[in-house]
Amino acid sequence: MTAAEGVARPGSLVRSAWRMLAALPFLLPSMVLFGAFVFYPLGKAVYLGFFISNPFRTRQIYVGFDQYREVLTSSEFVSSLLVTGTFTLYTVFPAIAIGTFLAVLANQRLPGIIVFRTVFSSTIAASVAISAVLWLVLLHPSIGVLNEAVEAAGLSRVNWLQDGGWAVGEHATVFDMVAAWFIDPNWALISVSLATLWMNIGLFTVIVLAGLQTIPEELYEAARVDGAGRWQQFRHVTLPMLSPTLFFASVIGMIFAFQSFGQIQILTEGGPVDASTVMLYSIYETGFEPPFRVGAAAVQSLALFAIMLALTLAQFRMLAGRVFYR
Amino acid sequence: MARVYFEEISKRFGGTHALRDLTLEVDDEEFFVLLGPSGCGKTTALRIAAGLEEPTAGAIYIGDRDVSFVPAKDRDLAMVFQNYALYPHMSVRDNVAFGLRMRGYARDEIERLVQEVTATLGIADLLDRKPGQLSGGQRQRVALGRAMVRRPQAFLMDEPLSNLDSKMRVQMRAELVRLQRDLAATFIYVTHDQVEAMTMGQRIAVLEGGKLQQVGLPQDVYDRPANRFVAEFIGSPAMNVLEGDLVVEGGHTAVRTPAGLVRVSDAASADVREQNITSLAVGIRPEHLTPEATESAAATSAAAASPAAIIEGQADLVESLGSEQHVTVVAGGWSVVANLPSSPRIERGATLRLAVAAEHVHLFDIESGERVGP
Amino acid sequence: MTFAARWLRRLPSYAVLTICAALLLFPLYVTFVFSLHPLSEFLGDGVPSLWPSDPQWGNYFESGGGVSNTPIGRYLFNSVVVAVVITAAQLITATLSAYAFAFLRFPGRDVLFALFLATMMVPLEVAIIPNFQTMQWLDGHFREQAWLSWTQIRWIDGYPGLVAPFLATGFGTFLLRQAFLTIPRELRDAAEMDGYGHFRFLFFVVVPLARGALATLAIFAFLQAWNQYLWPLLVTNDPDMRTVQIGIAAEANDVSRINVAFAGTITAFLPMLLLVVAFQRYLVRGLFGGSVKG
Repeated sequence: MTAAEGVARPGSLVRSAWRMLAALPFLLPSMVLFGAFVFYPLGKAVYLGFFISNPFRTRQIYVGFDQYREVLTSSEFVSSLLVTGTFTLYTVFPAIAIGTFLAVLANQRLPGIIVFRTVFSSTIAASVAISAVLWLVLLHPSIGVLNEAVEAAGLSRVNWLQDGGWAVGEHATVFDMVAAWFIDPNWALISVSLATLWMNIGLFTVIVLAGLQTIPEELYEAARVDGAGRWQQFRHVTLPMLSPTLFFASVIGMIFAFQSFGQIQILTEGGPVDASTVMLYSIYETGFEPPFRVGAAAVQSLALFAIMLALTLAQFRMLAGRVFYR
Repeated sequence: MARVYFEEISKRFGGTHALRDLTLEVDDEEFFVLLGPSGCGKTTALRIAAGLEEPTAGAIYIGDRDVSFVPAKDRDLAMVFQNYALYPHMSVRDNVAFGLRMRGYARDEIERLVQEVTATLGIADLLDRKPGQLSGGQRQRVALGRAMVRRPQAFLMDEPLSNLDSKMRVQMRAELVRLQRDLAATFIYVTHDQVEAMTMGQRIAVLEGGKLQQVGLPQDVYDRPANRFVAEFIGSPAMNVLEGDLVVEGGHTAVRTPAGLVRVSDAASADVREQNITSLAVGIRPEHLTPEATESAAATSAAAASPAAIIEGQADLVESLGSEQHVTVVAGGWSVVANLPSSPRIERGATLRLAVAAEHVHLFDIESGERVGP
Repeated sequence: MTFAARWLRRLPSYAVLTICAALLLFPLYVTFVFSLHPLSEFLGDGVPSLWPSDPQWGNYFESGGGVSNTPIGRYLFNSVVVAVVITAAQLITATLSAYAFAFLRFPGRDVLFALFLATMMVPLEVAIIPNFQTMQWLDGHFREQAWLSWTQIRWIDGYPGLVAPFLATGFGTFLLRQAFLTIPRELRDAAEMDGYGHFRFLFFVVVPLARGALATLAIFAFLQAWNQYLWPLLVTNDPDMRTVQIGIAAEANDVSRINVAFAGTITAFLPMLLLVVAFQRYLVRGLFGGSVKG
């Protein structure tokens, strides 16, 4: 290039290596931890899927993809998919709707509104175990007060935690089960969902409240000048401006739904039969209860991973274009 | 204080050349300005001098010492950044003292130096404030104080005035010049503002596309731009440039532009012939276009008697600035801007005949853009 | 508008707000009331009263049979240890890695950053089986091998096992990197000219400037660690090592002292409630994770 290349400069390879070395102290702690507890386990799960073991885990037998095929086509797996899907449906969207309603209510300019904001967000502080215990109190067969309210409303008592509805009993095909879905409510799953829903309301109220703060006041003023009423303001200003927030809420809501475990363990232990056995609970039962089918549990967890990954990516792809971004 | 010498500096970022073969010598105690549009490489040059960026090739000297491989902190330079780069969570005192602390000064020595510098800059009463509580001008002074307190070999300034409002900018311009004189320090000052360059720089270097275009005294650069880029970049309103082919008419060499014939001086035409140039760009600064003299005045003024060109056209836009008026004249389909005295007031649509003297005509080779003639 | 008229007009709004608040708080109210009942209230037929006609504050404070006498205290202590360690570790590891991604230039940076982000897509639940095996393996080695056993470290029924998988965070790295990127690069340049190395710059400039984001990560990490359920269930058998979440669930099964169990639940809820109310604004920012401007 020029005569100046006569001036000796360290080669680019040396420089690159030096830069990597300089970055290493910053990155090594995280890299080691991620390697040990995220990437290695992911690979290990794939590996475990190839083996079955006897109950005492003294012997591992290589079965290749047979276990993958067997687990993923089993009726238990299909049932857990359906239960997980239903659970997500029950918990995410109603919670977002209620959370939005409460957030809009709490976003009014009134003296003392901060009290209501705090109350509406308060269930975010409840852990899975706490909300499960609270709802156990409400739904309990002998001391549960919710049935009193149901009766007072002139409806018949519900066998909350113990009625599996469509999820129990013989269904010849998946279609039979889906058909029963509409007419025979799975009260056990609804019970678990109620506890989760209650917990999520606080979360979504907080998120939507934050989203509402970002909407400029001028937009409402402009809408009012154009003669929009309260509903029209909500419909044409709040909702579109809130759509990224709601989209975001639905993504994390689904991720949380797929990770739900504690409330199910406390309230129903996955039962009756498998009526409230979501995928994660099934993984727990398969891998950590006799006969400790670790390989099968690993396959299920990979399936859960695949579904979560696909859903998240699909949601971003699908909605990215339609959601109104500023 | 020391000179700063750039020796054939090149810098590549990936595939793009930020700097090509920059050789430049900044004298000791000089106020030197690097001028150019954004992306021309001027900031890269400054950062290479500072040691914040490694050149791909070339060497940097401070004084007589080759500092190419010396880390930034050991080059003994101070830098003032465009956005001031003050630490928002620290008081003015801590901001000014930050560099001294690292250099192991004693506590009372630091306090003495901080007091001294802030007193010089008139910000001694702001020592306990945070940058967020200061005005733009005050922040600017803190940034200067932080640079001054270390008594560096040279000051590097990256567009330090561009975040100020226009009034403050004018004031700080004068202050910086005075400061440089009082400190007797080497300043390398980067800007895209030609007014700053003209008013502050003892010498200026114009950069474009990573290449040095011209170095010289501000007035020389203005009067004799080395190429078409420099000619059009410096001056406001910008120089009028008309392109045309070379013709010989009535024994004179001239350029046939859309706005009319422009005579080429004898000295220039010799160069044109030598270089076999067939088409030229003619540059005329707006202030060199004057209303054609009346017959009686023409008799008394020899220069005006033989203008290099007469441009005749209609006034299309008149911008009055109070002291002068900028008139856009449309001649032969081309717009030419003239800078005329505020009186007589020109009306839109009026027909004007504008003359330019031969010594005010700049000629550039269309192909290379280089200046032709004296 | 007069004072009275103004309040009259607001009345419906307050009515709706109050009804919603009452509905939302109902589960808490019931459990609170039940926690004040004497045990006899639960033994008869029918549902216990929804009004504490005979409040037994002893269920909370009595040294003989109140919450203070249950292992809830021990559970709370375990949870605090676990949550504090996880929070502190995440703050450190995420600050370091976020700094590298925001301020350092090195080959492979973008690929590595993508890998860090990808860890957000791999929830612990997916890795739970291999991770549990890792803990068993570690625990075995630390019990059997002489050169390790002197450390007394327990990976099953011990704090190390409870915290180990959660010490690094892709989410936190992302969150802090976003915050660090808002710090002007010129500050780094200025500090470099003043002779401040990366660690000093990180400590003296970056950390003080990113306090908000660090607080966000802290509250978020703490809350997540506190609310862990599945992992502590797996790696603890010893009741002494239970976290409060496992603890209250276990207590709630103890029908003989169900009122005290409810009192325990309320006791476990209160500190979190206070924390969340106090740090709500940081929590919101954390949830948004910089993806939506909040």
